[in-house]
Amino acid sequence: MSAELLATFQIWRNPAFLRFWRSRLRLRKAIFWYLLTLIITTFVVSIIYIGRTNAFTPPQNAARGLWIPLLIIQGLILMVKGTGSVSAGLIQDKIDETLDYQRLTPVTPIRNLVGYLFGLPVLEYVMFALTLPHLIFIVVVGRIPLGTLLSVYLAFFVCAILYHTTAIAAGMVMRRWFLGYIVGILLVLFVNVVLPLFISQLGLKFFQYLSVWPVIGDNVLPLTVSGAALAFAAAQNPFFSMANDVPFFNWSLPPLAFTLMLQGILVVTFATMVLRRWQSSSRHSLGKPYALGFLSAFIVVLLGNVWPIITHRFMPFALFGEIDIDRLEPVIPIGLPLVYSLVTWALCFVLFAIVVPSRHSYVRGIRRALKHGRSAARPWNDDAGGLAFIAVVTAVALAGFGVMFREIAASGFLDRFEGYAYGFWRLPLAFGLAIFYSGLVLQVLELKPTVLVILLVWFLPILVGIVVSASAQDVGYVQTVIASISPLALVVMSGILPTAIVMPGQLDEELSVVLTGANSGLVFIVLQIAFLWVRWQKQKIADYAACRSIGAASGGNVLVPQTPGTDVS
Amino acid sequence: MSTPALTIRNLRVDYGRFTAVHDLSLTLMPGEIFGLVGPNGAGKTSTIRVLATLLEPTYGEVSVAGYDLFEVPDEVHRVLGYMPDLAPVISDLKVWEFLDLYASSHGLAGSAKRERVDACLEKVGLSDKRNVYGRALSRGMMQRVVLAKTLLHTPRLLLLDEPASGMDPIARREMRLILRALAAGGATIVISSHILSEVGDTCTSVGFMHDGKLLRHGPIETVLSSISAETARIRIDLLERVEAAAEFLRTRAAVDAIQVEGTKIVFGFRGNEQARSELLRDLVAHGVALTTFAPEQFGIESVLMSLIEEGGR
Repeated sequence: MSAELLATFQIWRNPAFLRFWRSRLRLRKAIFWYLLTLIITTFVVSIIYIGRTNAFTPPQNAARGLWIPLLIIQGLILMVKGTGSVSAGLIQDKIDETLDYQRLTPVTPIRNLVGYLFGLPVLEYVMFALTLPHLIFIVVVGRIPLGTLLSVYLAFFVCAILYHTTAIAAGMVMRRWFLGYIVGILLVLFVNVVLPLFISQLGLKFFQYLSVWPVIGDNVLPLTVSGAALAFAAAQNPFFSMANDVPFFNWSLPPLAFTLMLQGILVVTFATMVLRRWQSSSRHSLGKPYALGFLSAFIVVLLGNVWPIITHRFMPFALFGEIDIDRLEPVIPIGLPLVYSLVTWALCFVLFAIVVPSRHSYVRGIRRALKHGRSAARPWNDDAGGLAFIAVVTAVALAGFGVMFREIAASGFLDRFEGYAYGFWRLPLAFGLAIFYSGLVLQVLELKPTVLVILLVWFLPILVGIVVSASAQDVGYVQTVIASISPLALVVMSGILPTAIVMPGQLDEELSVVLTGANSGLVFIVLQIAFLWVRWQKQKIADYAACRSIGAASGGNVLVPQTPGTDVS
Repeated sequence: MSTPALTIRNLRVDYGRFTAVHDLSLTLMPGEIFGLVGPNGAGKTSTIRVLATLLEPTYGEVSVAGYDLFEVPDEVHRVLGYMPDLAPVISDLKVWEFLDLYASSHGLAGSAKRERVDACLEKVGLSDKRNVYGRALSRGMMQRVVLAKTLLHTPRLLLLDEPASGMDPIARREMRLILRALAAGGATIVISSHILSEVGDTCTSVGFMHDGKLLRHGPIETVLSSISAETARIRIDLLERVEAAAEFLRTRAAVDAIQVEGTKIVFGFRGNEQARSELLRDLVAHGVALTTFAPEQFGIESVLMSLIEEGGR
């Protein structure tokens, strides 16, 4: 192990860590948090244990029953409070410019990252340590197996590190520490509460492995409840419903392994973002190749999770609120591609927002390229125009769609659509156009105007369509055409079109309305792409002209020989 | 000949279509104290931030003590000291803890670190403030603590962006002495400043920036004499008829940049001593009652104004 690598992990010698150790653990300030932790934890543990033993629960079971409440307290400390502190602390350093001081030292970026990652939440780590006597009580009295203990806390700490790394990555781009604090906390609550309760019900179960719930369900739940209660909890409780082995393509992975894999990918991704920004605050958080790799990994995980449902007709969890595959048969070829399209599109948009260069950056790339005798920046550079990247991303997203849909067709889910299969080409077409369009908007208009476009073009037409429908008490052609200006409506309408096909007779009129909306939506999006494309070409010509004229005015940038110190030019 | 402390070739910084630094080239040798002066928006801070590796330029080559800034930034960080404008001290650290943090970051440890921290505190005259929290320091004290931090690793190139702002005259004098001592020890110092008298008193060479361009640079005396040789500025004091004298001067082709202040007129004049003598004669013949007719002493400020006016023409 090289000395540099060794120094990275010698946390006690890390200057950034020592700084936070000194400033955040000053007894005068920290004593409140220490006492609060001890008082609350002791109260919760005591009251539950005494209550249970008074109700004649054996001490071992009573102690085991304390573990989940203790994990919740530990999670509130290290994940919720800790993530907020990390995000707020980093933003404050950025505002103060002390981050720049740290950048200018010979400490390597990764060593700085480690120092900030464990230093900013050092108070929370100490608060966590104050709950260890309670944990020891639970482990000893409850006779918790060591392997179980290690599995749970391995997942717990990886999860905490994921949230903290995310907070650092967010802090690198945010500008207000209070906002960073709130966003950090909301992020943890979103992953741990909103995802299990709502979003994972759409079939996006793998998101739940971003929390520690599945590992708790797999390891802790069997120790605390048994028999029918365990089965009920595993099936019905949204927090523990992913406690069983994870079906992934044709494999079955333990929740701990899947959690570590998923969270590991994200930790590496966010750490990459932080390191890039650390090296230069003007770099994009992700490079184009990494962004493409991340999208590919996401699609693989997405497909891996629904693969058993499609290919083996095996339902490991409730999908769209239904566990019976036969009842889901008509829904799968429509619902899964639509959910895939919307989620992948959302991720593509986030990646575009990170990777597509601003006008400033793009112009700088042209100047730099011209200076070095090239006509444009290299395609994978931050400063290179994003269109090639947008096209490749669109192709990758469509390839994933194609793989999934091919399996859906091969597994016989389309049999009942025989004769109507023509309806299925619309979704990939709309999906591909929507991805390309959203990247093009960002490339041509940049981020802030794009937010306006999202409001005015993506959402407003839908809202107007709803208002018109409400006033007419009917969903007619006019309102559908208005709504179809939105690419969001286009994708949804294209996706649900086959629904009408499987219910012939009943929905002829509705089919016609949705079909008109999908057709007009295609026209609108093609027109918008054409408009943006023309504007982009004009911008490009103007930027090149400006760069060439400035280059010529400066005498072709010939390197000037210099006489040290004494010359007067 | 020793390795230049700083070599900049064709440095350019753009913000979109706005060019902040326009193909700047410069070489500084060890021991130089270089003052970078110019009005707001001249490109001084952008240049300093590029040199400090905090801003990526559009293009250009920069080497510090022989190390390429963009190829081996870590090596450059070992020999570079940077003190920004409005330099902050971490508010919840004591002064010694703040310095200890950066001494450790530069690889100092144990007693060597403690001695270096103490020496730097001593150097900036803040030994008695070592246990004071950053938040309790005045603006001038913060500047001095950050200067101490900048000196911890004995940098060979020091970049100081408006270092004297917020400092009282005594602290400024102390800083001047510190910088001279550092330069005498072989360090090269780049000072970006609006306080032109400070630059004149401290620096050995100077560069004038305007609109992103380095208009002139070199040793102060050389630059001043080259400017005064090209464009003299003449000052006249009058008893009366100031406006009439100004009107008369405006009709002369060799005269420009006329500034009227009370009974004093300062103007630029292109011409030799014979032409100057003729101008004096004509003024008297025009009925102007002169009490003084003398070349204005060139200082950095007047050179800067002259260069800006020249650039504007």
